[in-house]
Amino acid sequence: MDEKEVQDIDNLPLEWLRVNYSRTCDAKDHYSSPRLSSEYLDCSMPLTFDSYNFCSYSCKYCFAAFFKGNNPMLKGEGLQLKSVDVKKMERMITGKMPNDLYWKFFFSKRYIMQWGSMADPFCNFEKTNKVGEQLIKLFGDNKYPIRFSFKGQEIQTYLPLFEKYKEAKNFVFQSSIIGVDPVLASKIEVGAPSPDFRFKMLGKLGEMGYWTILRLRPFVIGFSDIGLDELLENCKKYKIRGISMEFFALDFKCSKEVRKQVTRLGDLLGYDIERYYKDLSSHRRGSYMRLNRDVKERWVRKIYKFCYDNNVVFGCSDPDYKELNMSGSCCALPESFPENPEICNYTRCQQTDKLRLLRRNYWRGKRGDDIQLKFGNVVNGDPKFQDFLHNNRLFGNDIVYKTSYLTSEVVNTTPASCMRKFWNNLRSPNAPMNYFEGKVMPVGRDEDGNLVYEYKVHPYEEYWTKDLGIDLGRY
Amino acid sequence: MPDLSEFLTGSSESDVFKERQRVIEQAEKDLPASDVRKKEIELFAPKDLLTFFKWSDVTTYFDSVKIYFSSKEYYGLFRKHFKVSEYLEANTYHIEHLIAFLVALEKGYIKIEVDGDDIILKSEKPFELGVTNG
Repeated sequence: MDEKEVQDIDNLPLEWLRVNYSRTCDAKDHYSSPRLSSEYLDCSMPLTFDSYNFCSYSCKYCFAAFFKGNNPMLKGEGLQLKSVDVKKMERMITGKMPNDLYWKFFFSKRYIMQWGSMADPFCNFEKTNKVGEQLIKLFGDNKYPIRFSFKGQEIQTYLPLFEKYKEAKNFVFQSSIIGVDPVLASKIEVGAPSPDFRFKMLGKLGEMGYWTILRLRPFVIGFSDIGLDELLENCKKYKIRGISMEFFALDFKCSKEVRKQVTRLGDLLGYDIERYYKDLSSHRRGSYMRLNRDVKERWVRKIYKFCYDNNVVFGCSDPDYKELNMSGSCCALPESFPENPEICNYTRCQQTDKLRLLRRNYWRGKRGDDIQLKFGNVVNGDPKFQDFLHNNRLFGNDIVYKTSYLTSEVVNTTPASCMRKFWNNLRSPNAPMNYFEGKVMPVGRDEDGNLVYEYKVHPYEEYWTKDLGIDLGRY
Repeated sequence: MPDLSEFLTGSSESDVFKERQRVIEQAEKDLPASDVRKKEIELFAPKDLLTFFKWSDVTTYFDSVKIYFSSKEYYGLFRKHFKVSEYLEANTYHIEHLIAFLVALEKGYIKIEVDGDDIILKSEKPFELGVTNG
């Protein structure tokens, strides 16, 4: 890239930041949220929520940008900021819409919802529009369990509100901090407050007694690994109780604009990121490139060991090393929290929870059924929440990847039946064998004809247990 | 190119793994970042999922296994060693190591025995293979 091209690429996020600094919401048209995430196969909080339809920041690694970059609605002059309908949200969580599917499957059971999925709850839009403030009061007054995922500076404004609601401890705070270098951060996370600010916010919320989590997602090699010791020291300093990590994944099916931003990210990191990902990713996983397990091990080892030694919950949303999760939630929510058990009201009818149990069983010396991943155990693995997986309307309305389905098929498809299709197709990137890159391998079929997968121990586990004294059967 | 000898002879994968990680961690101390990335590409080339199998388990995991040939020569090589009734197909997009396997058969490094439904592979001694994919 020549100098002018680099300048043009760098100007784009700055321009995005400028035009969005004080953008106001459309008063009549609302953004439809929450929605069921397409990641329900291995997500503990599949119902996600955003207060605005996009984010004012411009982080170069943003996975939402990959999706939104392909959406013509979010381009050009017609770009319209929308917020959720707070009154509708109030009706939804208080049972005034008894036939609503979200009430039926989630809110009536006090499911912990994630707020901050495709946008930031506390970015510049909140400063001008204050929709989030009304929602915090709504959830706070109802003691409704919510997990925030944020970077934005507007959280500072709401610290007194969170102080007011601290007795209930129904809020969990997760902040994305993927590196400590403030200069590099300002070039990569354009517009977002410094890593130090975000740590301080987590520290203050932790002092109020809330469960706080460092979201080390995505772990970007060339940024996150530099100063990793300092980052972990900050976790101790600010008494952070969970770390959730996932490595950066490169989606090769993206718009030209996004591709240019990725190339520029590689420039900033000092290597050809596209070639690196092509050469080191398993092609079994399709065009969504994830580096293979061996590349990631040394950093996973360091972070896991830190958590293991310091009583911090380790969460890994990366399909590689997902078996190491210390709870059923790869967002590093706890298994139990006596101060407010409702923050553990996440779903367990998903592969993350089950894979963790297979690893634990293996290292506790169990064999046979105890180390086998079975379809029935996943989709019927949570009596409280599993019914949403068997509803066809939810699939038709919410799930975005329906490209292989005919319209007539969609009406008869449920999240569970879609999952079954992936499960039994060993060529699908979503089949457990491919998705977890060989961590489970097929060993036969169950009585319904579904493949049964078995946990496979990998060399790193022998290394960790023998050389580092880590008991992989503990959590 | 996956090292076929490692999983056939049962040498310690854990030791090989540790050594590769040690080399990279040392490189991180000694080399500029771009060279470390090159070293990683050299050492951590993605394994094919079949390397997680023990060959003796292949018939347990799959009712049938398919090989997709990228050239006629490979197919010819395959037919030289397998009768259709012993069809060994692999569910994989990458067949380099299977070709290596066939070459190993041709050179006599591996012996194949069929006992009922079981295909038994035997290796007399550790060996190394290098195959250039066409």
